[in-house]
Amino acid sequence: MKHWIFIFGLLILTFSLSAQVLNPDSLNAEQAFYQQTLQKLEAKAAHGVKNADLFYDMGVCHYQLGNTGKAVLYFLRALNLNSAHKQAKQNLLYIHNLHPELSPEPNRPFLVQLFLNIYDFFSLNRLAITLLILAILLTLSLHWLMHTPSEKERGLPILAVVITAILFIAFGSMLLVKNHRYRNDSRAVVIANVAPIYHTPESNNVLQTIPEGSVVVVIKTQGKKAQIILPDGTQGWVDSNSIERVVPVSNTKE
Amino acid sequence: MVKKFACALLIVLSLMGILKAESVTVNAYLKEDVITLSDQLQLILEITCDKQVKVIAPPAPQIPGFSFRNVVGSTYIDYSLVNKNLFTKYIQTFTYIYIPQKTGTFTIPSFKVKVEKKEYYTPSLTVQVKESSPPPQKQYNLSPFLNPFGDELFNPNLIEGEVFLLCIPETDLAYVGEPVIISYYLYTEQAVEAFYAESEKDFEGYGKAVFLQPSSLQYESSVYNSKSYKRALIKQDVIFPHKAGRLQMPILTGQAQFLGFLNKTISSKPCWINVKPLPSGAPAGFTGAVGNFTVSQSVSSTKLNLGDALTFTINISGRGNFSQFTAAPFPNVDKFQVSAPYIQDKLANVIEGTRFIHYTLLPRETGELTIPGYTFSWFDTTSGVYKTFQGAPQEIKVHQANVLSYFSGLLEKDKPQALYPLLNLEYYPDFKNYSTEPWFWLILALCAISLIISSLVARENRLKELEPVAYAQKTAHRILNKYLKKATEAAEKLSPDFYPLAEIGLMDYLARKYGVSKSLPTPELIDALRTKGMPLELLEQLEQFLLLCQKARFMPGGAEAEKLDEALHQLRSLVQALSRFKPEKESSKKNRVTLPQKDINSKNEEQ
Repeated sequence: MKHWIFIFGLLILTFSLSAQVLNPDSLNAEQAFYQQTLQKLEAKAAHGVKNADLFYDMGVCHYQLGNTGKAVLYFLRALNLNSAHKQAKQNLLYIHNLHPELSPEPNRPFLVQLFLNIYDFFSLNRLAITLLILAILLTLSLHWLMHTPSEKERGLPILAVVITAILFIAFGSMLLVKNHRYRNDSRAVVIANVAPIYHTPESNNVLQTIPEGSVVVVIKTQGKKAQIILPDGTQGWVDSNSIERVVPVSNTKE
Repeated sequence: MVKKFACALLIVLSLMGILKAESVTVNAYLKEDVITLSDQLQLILEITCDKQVKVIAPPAPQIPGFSFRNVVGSTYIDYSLVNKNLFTKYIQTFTYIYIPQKTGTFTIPSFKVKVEKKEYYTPSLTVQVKESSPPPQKQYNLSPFLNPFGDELFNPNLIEGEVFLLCIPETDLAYVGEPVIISYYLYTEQAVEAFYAESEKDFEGYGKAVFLQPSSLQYESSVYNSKSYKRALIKQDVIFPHKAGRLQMPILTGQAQFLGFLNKTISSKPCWINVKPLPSGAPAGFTGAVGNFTVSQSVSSTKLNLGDALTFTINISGRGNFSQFTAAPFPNVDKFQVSAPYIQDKLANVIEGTRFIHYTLLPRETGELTIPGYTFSWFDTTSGVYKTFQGAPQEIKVHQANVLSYFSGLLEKDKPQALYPLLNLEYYPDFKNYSTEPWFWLILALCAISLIISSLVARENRLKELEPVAYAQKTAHRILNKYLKKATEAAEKLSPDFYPLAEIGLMDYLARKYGVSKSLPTPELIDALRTKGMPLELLEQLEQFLLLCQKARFMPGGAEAEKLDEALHQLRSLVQALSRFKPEKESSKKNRVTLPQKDINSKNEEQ
């Protein structure tokens, strides 16, 4: 008799549980889809695949599952590989527009914004290709200058050499900077619900808290704490577990 | 056995508890984030929960530059109907009122809120305080016995007479989902100076939202039950019925204040409305919208490049239950990726205004693509029938992306309306950093090498052009080597061509290096070279070899192996000697020429 009572009780509870879990709601179906997709993408990422589109898709899945911090992190990872990834950039802006408390976008002058857009447009590989084209143009310009007879006007080849040399140096510098950022991006994203900021690594007094999805710059780590700079310039210490770096430490060359 | 059952029951119950855990959302925002010194700052803390919870107002956060004044709490229930499912949310708000002390930009720190033993943190906020504009002319009387009715003064000492609250719905017959505004009026014969709303008792069958909350009592004359009263609007709520039948409206309770110190608690009289169910046969695209709407659709662009996105916007404007319906599913389009809808409301109040539903579409291929028209259905309360908006199909021309299209977006102001959708590619290639690839450095190295070669060639060309003599000297060795090589080959083949080849090579070399004529006879050539400062030993060696060549042309058996070897040996030593010899510069040459002359003169003088 007791057996029957036990089985009956379990059956009732199991059915009530399944009613809770398997609610045929469209929202749940959508969540399940994104969960499955995320699992597939994470499996690919676990094999060491680094791809901007892969990180972008992981960001979309995380956002749809309500993980704003992870979404921001993966969009930043996509942009770290390809700063011209339009969809990742737009989705990051979309999140910032929805959550202006995360890291307010400064109102930049038009020319500064244009320069930054151009800088973003030239992703790492676009910069490399552009640099090669400029190297070839510079070489051709130098050939032209060197083989121009002395009795002929040399102003034009000199101009071509100067322009291509300046561009070559500028793009070369940009490539160096981007390469450095690609390997040593010190930014991190708050993935915990809320991250309390402390004055010192030993302190328990909370200076302030930052919400999930905030982007901070990591200066150094000490034990389980990391020293960070907030977007408004405030410095403090935060639990290392509550943030995740855009470029994992194993990938950086420090 | 019972123990086992109890354990299993406990585990399952705890699992259920986890699954059933209510989702609590805590948010804080400012009513206005830019205020003047004469304004009040209203910090609103909103706690949303699936069930009714009791939350004690958290202590007011310290804000630098502000002094805290008061906190006001309120609770309401939000009912929403999504996909025919009813969702209930209990929303509790606390409004913290602060007075600004100085101008500037201030940060409101995040603060802790405890809900059901769990801690939540609010986001930190920023507020800007500006100088206040000049105060307007005062149009009100600060006297406690103010005259709210103009000419018809209350008797300030009148403390008798009726005071009651009436709930007046704008209509007593409505459809399920149709918003109904209910107004609470204070009817009075006494001089009521203020009314403090304390609570609202809610009943089943509706959702509710605040429509209007006047900040002061504005009296007007009114007749109720054939009796004249003064009445003032206390509050207006919007009721969203979600159940058909006779529904009782909320009962408002508050305190009326007389003569500055006397309080009287009064509640609104019960009031009902009749709610009719929506007729059956709702169209497929019906998501619960009830009201009077005008719907239109638009696309941001009809021509775009592959890789660019377009925004498809549905514009729903009018009056209705905006909080009760959501976007209809987007029509199936295989050739586009469609984002989740982004809903943007621009409402004058909770029931009137415009809703924009934005979808971001990414084309998958080029060509002339068609987006089917959007379908949106609602129940029109005026005509009492379902209406459907069927948008026209949109033709979109998608071009192949070109070089210029890569630069699109550099100048655009980024304000995305919706989240871009998943790309969901079949294959994600591993990222390759071109700047670390061998071919990248190979191309750069080739450029550098070509520059080195080119600079050498250019230098030689310049020398040839500007200093032909120096160039001829420089190229002489090359020519000698060239002819020596031919002569050596001829010697190895025991060919009599060795002698003419060696002679030609030497003459050509000497002509280039010393500027002597190639057609000079040997003695004159030797004389000419002597004047160039060539050592006598070398001259003798050269003369001997040239004579040998001349003899060999006519000498029988001149091409014998031994003699050819010897001649070749001589030629080699001669070439080496010539290579080592560097002709002196013009100045030193002059000295060299003049010195022997002096010597000759001195010798002559001695003689």
